This record gives sequence, C-alpha cells and structure tokens, in this order.
Amino acid sequence: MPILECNKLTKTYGGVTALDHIDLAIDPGRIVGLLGPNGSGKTTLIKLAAGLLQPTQGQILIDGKKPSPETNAVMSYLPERIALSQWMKVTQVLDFFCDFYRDFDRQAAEQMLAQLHIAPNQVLKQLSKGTKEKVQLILAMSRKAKLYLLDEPIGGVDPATRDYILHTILTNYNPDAAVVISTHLIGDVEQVLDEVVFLSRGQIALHDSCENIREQQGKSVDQLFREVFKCWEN
Amino acid sequence: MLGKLMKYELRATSRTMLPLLLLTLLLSVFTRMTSAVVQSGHSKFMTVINTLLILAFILALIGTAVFSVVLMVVRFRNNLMTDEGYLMFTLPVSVHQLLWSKLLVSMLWFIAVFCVDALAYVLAIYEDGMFAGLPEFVRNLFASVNREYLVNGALYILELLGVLLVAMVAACLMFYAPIAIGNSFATHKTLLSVVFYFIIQTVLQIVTLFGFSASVQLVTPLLTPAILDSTIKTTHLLFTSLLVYELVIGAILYVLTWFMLRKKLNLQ
Repeated sequence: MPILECNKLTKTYGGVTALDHIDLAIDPGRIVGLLGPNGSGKTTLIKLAAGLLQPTQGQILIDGKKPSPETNAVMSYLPERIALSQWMKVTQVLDFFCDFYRDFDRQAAEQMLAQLHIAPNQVLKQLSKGTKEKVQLILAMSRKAKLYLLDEPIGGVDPATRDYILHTILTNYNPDAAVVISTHLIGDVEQVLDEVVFLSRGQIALHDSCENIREQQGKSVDQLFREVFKCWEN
Repeated sequence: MLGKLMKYELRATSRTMLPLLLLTLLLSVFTRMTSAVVQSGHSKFMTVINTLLILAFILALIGTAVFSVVLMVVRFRNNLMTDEGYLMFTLPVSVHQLLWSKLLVSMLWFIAVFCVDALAYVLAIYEDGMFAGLPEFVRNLFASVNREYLVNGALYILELLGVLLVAMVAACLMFYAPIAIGNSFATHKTLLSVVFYFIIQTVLQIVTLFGFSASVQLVTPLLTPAILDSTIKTTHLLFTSLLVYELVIGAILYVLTWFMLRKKLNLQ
C-alpha cells in the first residue's frame, strides 16, 4: 500500500487553481523529489498531506487514512519556515518533541546537534536563520516516521551544510519510510533521489525513477528539468 | 495530550504573567510599608514616594487584568495563526485539544490575576481587626441562602462559579472566533479579524436583544410573588438564565472557531 496517495486531488484558492486533479502514489522505501518552479504547487501538495489545508476536491491519504492527529503521529513534516517557538532553548524544543512524538529519538538528535556544534542550552532567538533551519531539520529527521515531508530543506543553508543535510536525510531516515523532498535546487538533491515528480502549474508533468531518466533519456534530472520547464514556458 | 499542551502553554505564558503578578505583590508590600512610615512621621519625601507607589500599585492591579486578556488574544494568534501554527497543527493532537489548552490556561490566568490582585489589595490596606466581622457575615450569608434556596448554600456558590467559568470561556471565544475567521483569508488577516470581531459583536447584540425579549415573555409567568419577594430565588433565576445564555453563545462561538481551524485553516 502506498504511504502517500492522491486521488484527483484539487486545491483552489479563490479562483486560482494550485493543484489540478493530481493522481500520485508514493511507496515506502523511496526518496522522492517533488520538483517544480516557484508557484507550481509543491508547498500546497505538502501542506495538504500535512493536514494544514483541506482539498477542494479529491482526496489525499497518508498510510491509507485522511490527514488527522493519527496520521500526524506517523508523519514527520519539515515546513519551509521556522515554526519553533523562538523563546525556547534548543533543549526545551527537544523536550517538546519527546513529549509529543513517541517515535522521536532524542539521542540521535543530540548527536546531530553536537556534530553541527549547536549548543543545546542556546535560545533559538539567538541563533542565525540557517542554524534554526538546521535545528528544525534535525528534529524532523530524528523521528522514526513512516513518511517524511521536507519542504525546501536546503533552501537557506551554505553548500557544505547542504551536503551534511543530504547525508543526514540518507543516513537517518527509516528505510521502510518514504521521504518527499520539495525543492528547486535539483542539482544538489539529485544524488539522493530514487524518483522524481515534476509539478507544473498544478499538474504532474512527469513521474519517473531517476534511473530511468538517466538510462532512457541519457540526461541528468537537472538537465531534464531545465528542458521540460523551458518547453512549458515557451 | 491535552495535559502536555497545557504544560507548554503554561510555560509560554508564565514567562510574562509570573513576573507581572510578583511585581504587583511587591508593590503592595512596599505601598503598605511606606504608608506605615508616612502615618508614623511627617517625612515629605516618604509621602511623595508613597503616593507614587500607590499610583504604580493601582496601575499594576489594572495592568495585570488587562495584560491577561491581551496575552490570551496574542497567544492564540501567534501560536496558532502564524509560523508556529505549522508545528502546532501538525502535532498528533486534535483541534479540540489545541483550543481547550488555550481556553483552560487563559481561565487559569484570569483566576490567578483575580486572586493575586485581591491578595495584593488586602496586603496594601490591611489593618488590625479589618476582618473581625467576616466570619459572622459568611455565617449569615450561608444561613440565609440555606433557608431560602431550598438545597444549600454550596450549590448557590457553585451556580455563581459556573456562570463565571462559562462566561470566561465565552469571552475568550469572542476573540478566538473572529481571529480564526480573519486568518482564513489570504490577505489582510489582521484587519479582517478586527472587522469580524465587530460583526460578531453586532450580531450577538441583536440576537441577545431578541433573545432577551423572548425570554422575558418566557420567564414572566414563572415570577410568582414568592419568587419576587426572595432576593435569593430571583438571583437563582438570573444565574440560571445567564448560564444558559453564556452556554449557548459559547457553544456557537466554539463550533465556529473549531470549524474555521479544522476546515478553513490557511496559514501564510
């Protein structure tokens, strides 16, 4: 059974269609890149899966269920913005995650914080934006979830940290889980992806494995992305 | 999970509420001390200090009450409607639990402010023998309530507390509902929250007016001379009507807030 499933999923804001009858199934054990230009519907799709938005039509299922507190317990969501309370210390945020998520591995989180030289007794407000993003990613990846939804996880950090983050994603996720990474920095994430979904103007332009793209089309995902979206724009 | 949510809500709010309450208590003690000095001597300097302290103390009494209401509104908006909402609404908790954690902790602070302000006031003005008549007053009050209210005085107090608690919840929801509606729009969220606050207030006033005239017709036949003659029984009728009124208003606003957060959430 797919861990994430969309059936004719549609979302409109006022008169504007953000997602248009999307059909998508993502199986456990796959790392999927949700790729597309700005405004293509990536964040909308992830917010629908996280239960932060309600579909206008169709449905989205996590582990066979509609988004609910129950699905939140098996889904680890990394938003594209800092959602942590800024007055908290890093260690208090760890307490918070321990309290609410049964699958949170505090030891793993503390280990990653130490690797990135983030002191647990620092108040979040005192940290730079990039460091806060790192803390948030560490929290999301320290859960043993069935589905990871990572919205722009490498957007605001330097290239060296980007490598660390991708390494973290690869080494820390539960192998039976699926990871969905939304980004437009394709060159950086391509190496870790099993398959890609190209979103364009609310529709799926392509859903294929990276292996197929490289073997059958003889191109990297990055090259294909540039071509596909150039065509669509013309 | 409600307990855990309340724990973090208390932790977040006590950062500002506790120092404020402590300051009020300290001001009351200093006011009492300087008043004693002023009464025993004729120091002009101490009189000025005492006057300033009394002023600061009165401001603190009002300030704590006002701030607890402001904090209730700001916490709801900031924790649920801004970036923090991305974390709060993806926790494995229901919208009901999120709402009740905010409502219960706000109520707790309202009660704490009332108790601390009352204590501070007593501390500031305390004199020997001030409460000499209190035990007798309480005894008389309970005796009168027991005699006229059929059951017992405790029930009467419970009824009063019930009205106050439900009124507190309804008062919070009076702010939560318009904020939840205003934030469901894509732009002008704060402005629309204010607009919906006034719309809800106006609708409630109109409904209350019609509801009041209808309930007067409903209640009038119940007003027998025996009831009208007894203050306690009239108050009982008033409390029951108020309780029903606040329950209905509270329930409508609660469902409205829950619906907006569950079905129409639109975080930026």
